[in-house]
Amino acid sequence: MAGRTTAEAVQNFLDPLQRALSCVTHEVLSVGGGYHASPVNNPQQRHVLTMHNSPAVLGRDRLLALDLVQHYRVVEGEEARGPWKVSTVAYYYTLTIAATAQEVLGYHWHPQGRSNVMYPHLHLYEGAGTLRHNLRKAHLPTGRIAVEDILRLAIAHFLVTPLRKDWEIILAETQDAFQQWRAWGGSHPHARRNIRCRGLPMARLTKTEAARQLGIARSTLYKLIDQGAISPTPDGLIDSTELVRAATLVDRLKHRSQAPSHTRQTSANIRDMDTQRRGDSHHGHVADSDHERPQTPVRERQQTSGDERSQTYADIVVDLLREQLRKAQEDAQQEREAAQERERAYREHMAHLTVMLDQAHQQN
Amino acid sequence: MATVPPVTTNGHIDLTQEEAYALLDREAQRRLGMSAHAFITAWESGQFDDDPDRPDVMYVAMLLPLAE
Repeated sequence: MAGRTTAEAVQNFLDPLQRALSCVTHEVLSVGGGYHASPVNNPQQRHVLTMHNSPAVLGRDRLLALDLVQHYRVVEGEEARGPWKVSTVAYYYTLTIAATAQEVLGYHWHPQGRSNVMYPHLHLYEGAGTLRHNLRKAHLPTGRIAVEDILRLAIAHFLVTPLRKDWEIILAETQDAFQQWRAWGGSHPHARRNIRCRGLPMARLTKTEAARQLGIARSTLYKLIDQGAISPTPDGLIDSTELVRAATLVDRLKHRSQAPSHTRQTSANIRDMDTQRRGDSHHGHVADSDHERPQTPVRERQQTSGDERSQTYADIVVDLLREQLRKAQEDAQQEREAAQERERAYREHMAHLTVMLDQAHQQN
Repeated sequence: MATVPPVTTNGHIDLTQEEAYALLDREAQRRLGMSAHAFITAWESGQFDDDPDRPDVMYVAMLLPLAE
């Protein structure tokens, strides 16, 4: 929503929302953070919109209630969408059973939260069982969903055992290729690390946040910047589109660093990967003869030699391997502690049973 | 029962900093049984990282900018 002033933009944003809510509730929107413009160099700074009494009971029958929170930023718009506009940057909509507060379903999008899920998504909660007869006929709105999304969902959350170990890579690659050419926007660009959604504003992130979203160490991020895989803005922030661009590369690096020794990367395949990355970023399509996808021309390297570039990638892989080793060590330590705890509990249990047995013998 | 701030002539409630924090505190108490301060500390130290998508946790976390 646009406005001549920041306050007008916010007001133009709030009015339709309040009007829409008035169809089902008398609750009033509450706004935290005032009307001031959101600082460009601090993407974490956002305004909050919610209802003062939440969840708001809905309708005359008062069966359901709604929790609603939105984060928005007041930013400069272009031309007709300006000079000021409001951009929604996160939302949380959850329907609950009013009488029990049991959650039914939730539409959530929190790309900068602590959750690993950065794309807009839908949760079905236990309360959905209560409304199963309604759900059978309900058409729950979503964005369009790719086949890969459904396959990934089935494997990751519904116990489908994949037939091949590299399923994550395969799904990421096929979805990535598909998204390059599709005509419609999507709500779940998983292959591109779920950061960019068509029609939604792009966020600028600090380097720490960018590294976190990519799942890499900050030092690795700096190397990617040095390499040219990620370009920061003049004020040192990272536009989320840059993460989209780098996500495929990072995924491949991680995959290679996890691969068995006979397939672990060499200077040759690092250079090959670099070639693919450049094809991806400049032409929007990754060449892959195994999948008979169109081969795109490879741009000549301009600044650094292949050896230097390979060395940089090797450094990144080493970093990733170190991170994975550290995580594996932590996991192993936790497993050891859990095993010790189980052992201790078992011994206590046995001691307790022994005492009981002794007592039983004495009584007999 | 919390006092509801007045609705502005524009039809919504503009929360002051104190009111915004009070709202966060109220919801943290009601949904998670902890103060806003305790929630912020726990959230930032990663105590909810095992399941940050819990609806009650996520809801309160979404209100965190009210404390800024």
